Amino acid sequence: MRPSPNGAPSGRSGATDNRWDRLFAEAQRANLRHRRGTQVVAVVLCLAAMVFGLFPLVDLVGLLIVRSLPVLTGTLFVRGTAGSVPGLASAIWGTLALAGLGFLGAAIIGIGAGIYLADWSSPAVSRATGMVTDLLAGAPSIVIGYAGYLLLVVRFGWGMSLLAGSMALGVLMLPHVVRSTEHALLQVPRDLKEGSLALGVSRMATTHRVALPLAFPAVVTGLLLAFGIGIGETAPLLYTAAFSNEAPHALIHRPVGYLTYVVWTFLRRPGDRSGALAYAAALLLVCAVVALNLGARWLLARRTGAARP
Amino acid sequence: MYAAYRASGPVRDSVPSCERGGVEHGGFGGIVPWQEHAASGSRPEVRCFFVPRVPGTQPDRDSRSETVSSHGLPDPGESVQSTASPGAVPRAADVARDRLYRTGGGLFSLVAPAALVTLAALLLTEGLPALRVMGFRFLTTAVWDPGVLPARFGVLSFLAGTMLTSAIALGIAVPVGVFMALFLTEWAPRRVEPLLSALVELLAGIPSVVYGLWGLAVVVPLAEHHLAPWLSVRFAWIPFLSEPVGTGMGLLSTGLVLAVMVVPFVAAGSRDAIRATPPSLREGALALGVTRWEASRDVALWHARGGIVGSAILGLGRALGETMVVLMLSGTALESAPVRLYAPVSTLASALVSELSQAVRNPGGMTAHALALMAFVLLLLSAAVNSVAHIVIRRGRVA
Repeated sequence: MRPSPNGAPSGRSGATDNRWDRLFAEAQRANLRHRRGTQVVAVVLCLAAMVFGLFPLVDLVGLLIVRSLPVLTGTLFVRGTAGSVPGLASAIWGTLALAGLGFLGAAIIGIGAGIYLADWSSPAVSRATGMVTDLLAGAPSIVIGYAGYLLLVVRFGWGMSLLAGSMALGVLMLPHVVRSTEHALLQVPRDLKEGSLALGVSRMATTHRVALPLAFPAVVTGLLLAFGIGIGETAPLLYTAAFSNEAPHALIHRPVGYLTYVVWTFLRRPGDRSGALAYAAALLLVCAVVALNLGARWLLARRTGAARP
Repeated sequence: MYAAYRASGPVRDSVPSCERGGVEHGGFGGIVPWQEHAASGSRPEVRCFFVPRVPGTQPDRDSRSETVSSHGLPDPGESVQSTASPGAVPRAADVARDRLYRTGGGLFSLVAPAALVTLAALLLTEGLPALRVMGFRFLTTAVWDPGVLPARFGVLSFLAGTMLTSAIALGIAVPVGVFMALFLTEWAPRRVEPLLSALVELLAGIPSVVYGLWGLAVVVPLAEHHLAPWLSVRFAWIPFLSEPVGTGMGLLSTGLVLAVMVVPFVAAGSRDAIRATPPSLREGALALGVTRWEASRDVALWHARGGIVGSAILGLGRALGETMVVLMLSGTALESAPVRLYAPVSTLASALVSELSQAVRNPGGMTAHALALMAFVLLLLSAAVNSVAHIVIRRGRVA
């Protein structure tokens, strides 16, 4: 119970004193009731916000499953993406090839850059480079796509192609890889790195044998999430990869199909199966994102379990 | 020490020049000949040494690897052992390899900034012809018509569309996201909270085109049959909200779905910012007799204001650049800015795609140049918004 804020001196006598006390206590209780009422309203609001915020997720997954039921068969992964038959195989391969190639480049460059920014460069350089990298991470994906079109498709003459699309995706994923790697390495306790250096271990060996093994789960987590961003992108590919019904088989001069394009366009295509295919493609994408998220969480949970004895 | 480690040059600089010479006691020693290195091929040296005396411990060469493994580290392998020979002078090969490593890492770290600079320079040079033709009217006129002669390119209506959709999205997403963050940090049962947080983060990872699909199937009918009629009747006296209600594809549904996309960013950012509030502040407030709600409102929210505002601005950056949702739900209006909440709308990002065929058919044409300029404007806008967000977040963290 809160201390009584009334200034009534305790030594005073009799009935008036009691009355004042009662009045104060009554006012105090009313005040507290009011504030508790406000609190209840606030909690209800918080709960409502939570429901409102998470409702789309539930509704979306349910919708995707129900609408894609007609085409949810094994042939989805075998037949080509024509729209008339339940097949998304070429689009799946296209997505994997585009995101995979871009991811390869982004991972190699990004991990190297992240290591450098975390442990090797001066703090000022790290901060400046990190800020510019963040700006690239915030750049609208369609802008990256259009610049990719101007440079790779037109000026380099690659045409709408696998290479152009995957480079656009790679540029999109790169800053995420850089930042997550850098953060992962900065999480490694300094005293371990300093201890290693104090023992005379070379800096490269310190990075490779001390910092990287400890940061490994977090680095991989960042990679997984970046890959998730890559497979879910549409805008940068519209100008650089176009679309095709065939599985990717050449690096340049051949357009590539991908799942997000199916989601975007098949809904408006004539034909009874096309709409369901759009929902099926979206369902596959969501499943992939969920799987990558789960994998990332699992890795991180394992790290926190192991690193602190 | 750590700053020195980061800032120093090759590792040689960070190794103290006085090194241990195989002496088993503390204090300064004298000069000892350096024998091990004669064996390993480098020049024999004479070095001073200093052994700090730690009570109860004797310097012991063989205990090194155990000390390291007790920190949970993998056992150092062969090359680490050999590098860490007593005295620990870096070998020339190590120094050279470190230098190579540093150069390579530096080059890699420059790729992302270089990509951004290339992006901006490319778009600007490609957009220059359009800038020469249109001048400042590019930003101040609202007519986009590549079909007439001379073609007119004005992006004002797209700018307005971008601002309006983002404003609606933020107007909904910020309160919802902040209340979600409060729920996660203060009210959610401890066993449920990680699950809810995971779902919020999952929401942030769902591809935008999937949100577009969901919007088409759920939000557009909802807007057409329920929201828009209700709003237009209830607020008929506000011209912006009055009839006709249209087809459901337009500003309202676009803004709603964008809000759903931005909510997880605001919620996660605010949650992290609120969590960073020192518990002592909150406990102090509780000890003074405020309710939990008052503590989270007056202490946690106030302390986290920088992070909350920053995450809202980051969400704004996402909403500004979002393409697919707008493309699928906005009904595309290239000619005019929206005058009603239910009217079709185009944003800078969506117009870039709807004019795609024009640009592809004639890559050297003026439309392609104008689109490049538009992309440059969009890039500048998002860069500005993101910079402000980072500054706000950093300042919030310091204060």
